Amino acid sequence: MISHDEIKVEVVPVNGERIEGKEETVVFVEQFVKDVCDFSSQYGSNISISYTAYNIAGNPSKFPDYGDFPQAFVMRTYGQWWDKAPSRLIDYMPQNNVNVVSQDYIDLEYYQEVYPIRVSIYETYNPGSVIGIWAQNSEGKWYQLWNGFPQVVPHKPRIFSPHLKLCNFKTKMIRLEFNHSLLDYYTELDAVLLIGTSELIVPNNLRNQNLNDLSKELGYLKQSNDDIYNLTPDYLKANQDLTILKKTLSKHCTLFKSKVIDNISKGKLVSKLGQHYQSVPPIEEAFKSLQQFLQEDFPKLIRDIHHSIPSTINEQNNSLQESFSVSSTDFENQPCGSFSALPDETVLKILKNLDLRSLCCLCRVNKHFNNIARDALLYTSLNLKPYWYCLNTSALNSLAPRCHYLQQLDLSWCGNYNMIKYQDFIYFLHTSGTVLTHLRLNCCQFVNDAIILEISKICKNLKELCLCNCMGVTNEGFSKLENLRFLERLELYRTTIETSTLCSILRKNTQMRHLNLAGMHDRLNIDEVAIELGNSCPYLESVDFWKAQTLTPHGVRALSHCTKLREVDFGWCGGMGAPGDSLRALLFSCRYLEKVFLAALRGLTDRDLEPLLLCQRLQQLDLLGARSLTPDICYGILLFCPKLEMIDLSFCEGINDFIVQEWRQQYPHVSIKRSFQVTNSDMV
Amino acid sequence: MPNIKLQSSDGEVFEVDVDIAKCSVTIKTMLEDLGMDEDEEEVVPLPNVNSAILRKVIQWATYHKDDPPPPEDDENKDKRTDDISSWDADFLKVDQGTLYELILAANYLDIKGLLEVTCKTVANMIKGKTPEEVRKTFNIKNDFSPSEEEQVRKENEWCEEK
Repeated sequence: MISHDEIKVEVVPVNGERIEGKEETVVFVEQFVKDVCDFSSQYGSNISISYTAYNIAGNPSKFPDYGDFPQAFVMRTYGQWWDKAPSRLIDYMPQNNVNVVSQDYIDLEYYQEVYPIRVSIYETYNPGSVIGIWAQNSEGKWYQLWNGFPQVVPHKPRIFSPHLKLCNFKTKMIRLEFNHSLLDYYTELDAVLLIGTSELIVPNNLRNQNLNDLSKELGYLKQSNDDIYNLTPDYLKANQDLTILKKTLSKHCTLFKSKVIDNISKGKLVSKLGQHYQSVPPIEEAFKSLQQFLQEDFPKLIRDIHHSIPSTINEQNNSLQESFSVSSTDFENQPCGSFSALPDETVLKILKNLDLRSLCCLCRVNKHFNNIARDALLYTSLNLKPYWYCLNTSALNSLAPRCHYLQQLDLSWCGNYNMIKYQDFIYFLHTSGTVLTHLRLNCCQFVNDAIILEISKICKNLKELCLCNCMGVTNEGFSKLENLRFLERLELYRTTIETSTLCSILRKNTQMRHLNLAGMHDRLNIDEVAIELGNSCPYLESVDFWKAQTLTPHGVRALSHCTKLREVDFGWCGGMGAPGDSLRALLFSCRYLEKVFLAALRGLTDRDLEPLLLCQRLQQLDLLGARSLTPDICYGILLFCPKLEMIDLSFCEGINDFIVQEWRQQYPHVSIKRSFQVTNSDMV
Repeated sequence: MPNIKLQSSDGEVFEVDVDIAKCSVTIKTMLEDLGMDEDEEEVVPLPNVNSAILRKVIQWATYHKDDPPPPEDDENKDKRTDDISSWDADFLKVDQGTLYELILAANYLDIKGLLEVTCKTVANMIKGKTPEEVRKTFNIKNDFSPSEEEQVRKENEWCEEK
């Protein structure tokens, strides 16, 4: 056994046969994350190591300790709070959403390519939000290994190892998807272990299943009934079943080397088989698909060839048959069957309820449906985010001719790893971008200066533009947005826009309502931005300055001109220091505030928060880490803010646990948050 | 409660509570435009709806008479199709022909709620099916030539699998 720090390799014999004098072996690899390639959100900031995405790399550092540790990976939200906030985003084309919507993702790169058997996620705080695991093949295509519902699980550390589908390609890139809606508080992830093999091995008696299934079948993988959530109380024995399995591997498994496919000469048959080979790897299955090809597809191919040769006899036969079948019902002879009873406008009304996948399927039904299911009226609001794993250049090109009336487009998460090139999207904008009013391109790596330039020229009526995590756009690119006049929402989380560019955009877009500047670099002078907002944007409703070190009491005071504010996030704005009268002035002039996040503002005092008692609409208040607050002000807020639903008092050292317990009983409609850390010794 | 008489295309007359009849915007406007008084014994002819369908429509409208008025905004509303109430689902367990006639009647009579729920029901019959299954369900003929079919398949297959 070779053992490195974060990777463990073991050579295991597969079966007794010796080929050319050598025993057949397979290499088992257990490895932790080498690098984080991409992610949608992190609680930490770019310049810090606390709560950042990269913390998921390497060996577990905290497990089995349970609690709120800065060494873990944490995302920006939990529960339903963001969906209730004034800045909430409403999904376009909600009929595209499957049962569970992914809210966040992280892409993890490993050292060695393997056929995955098991992915073990070390959750060290508030587990339960992982809903999807994907693997990327060498061509960049993604395949779903597992999906499930978000879970409500006990507050304990766990190694979550959901049951994966058989994966027939090697991968070293894994994506996790999250839905935080059922969480009480932020989830924290410590590490992710990938266990896989160098060769594809398949259990002899289990079709289309992997070693995990075999381990279960043989009784090696013991899951007690009270461990339905994979809480792995005996974490030291996690993955031990595989150790036993390795010893008996030769008895139960075959090395899958595609003897069938290797031996067939290249040509049409191989490409046909290749398709099946992608989805059904075991030998038996390959034989089966060959059989199926010969029995079904091959005759069809021959038939098709016959069809393409004009044959008068054939046609005569067909027309004869048709004339015989006229009698029965009216619709039977219509190309659209029973649908012929409905006028096209009504059919369109029905089709408006369909998701994109169903519309694309309808196009393939017949000529009439191919026409009507591509009607531009069905493509006025398009949400492509749920299709991030398959949306490529040709998909975008096939959608473009249908989108002449496109007003709202969400392309977030799509096109990464070269699935879409920037020229593709520019072409799309030219054909379908002229009436766009809403455009979301969060986490799209292909977005660059050229695209922003086209957006500013083509989409003159743009009201909403979301460019979170668009790292490919420079300040020069952003400056083109000065051409827009009607922006009401601009989201720039973790982008590189500079102060004067942003101020100039704000000056020209006086209708601005929602501005997201969370997690920005420190060259951005948030004070100047706040002053510009105070001067130019009287309708501002929400502003997110999360982690902005350059916000000082000057900026806060300037914002008090925006009296329509309903939401402010100044979390971790360390430059605010002691706010003096600035926060009082802001809270006093903005009576419509519903969400106020002031996390980690150590200098906050009771006096700063007093005007909140007059905010009758206050629903969410984050005071995490406000050390000098006393119970008096918190009690006042609980008492005088009738709409309050959530207050975070984590690490407020002036407020003890006992009084928080009392408030929880007294105000059961308010969710009072109190984060904590437990080390393993404490739990015992 | 004042009643109103509605006459179907095949001549059958239905007496209906005016408030229930007015869930049809078409009937409501007709009454207002013609200044028809509720006391009058006049009969409202509905030449596009037969008695079987009109009976179903009245049944639906009676059950839903206390529903809040549907929101005005059409484009941005939730297009989820998994929110059909169990009563509506039972009510719409009918053959395809009846379902389409209900859609046409709801369209003609301008009853937003009924139109919506019937359209969603048909949409659900399409969802999750392969092209061949859709053809079977609705008795649709495949009139593509092999090369056309291949072309359309190429254009649309991208979103099929995970």
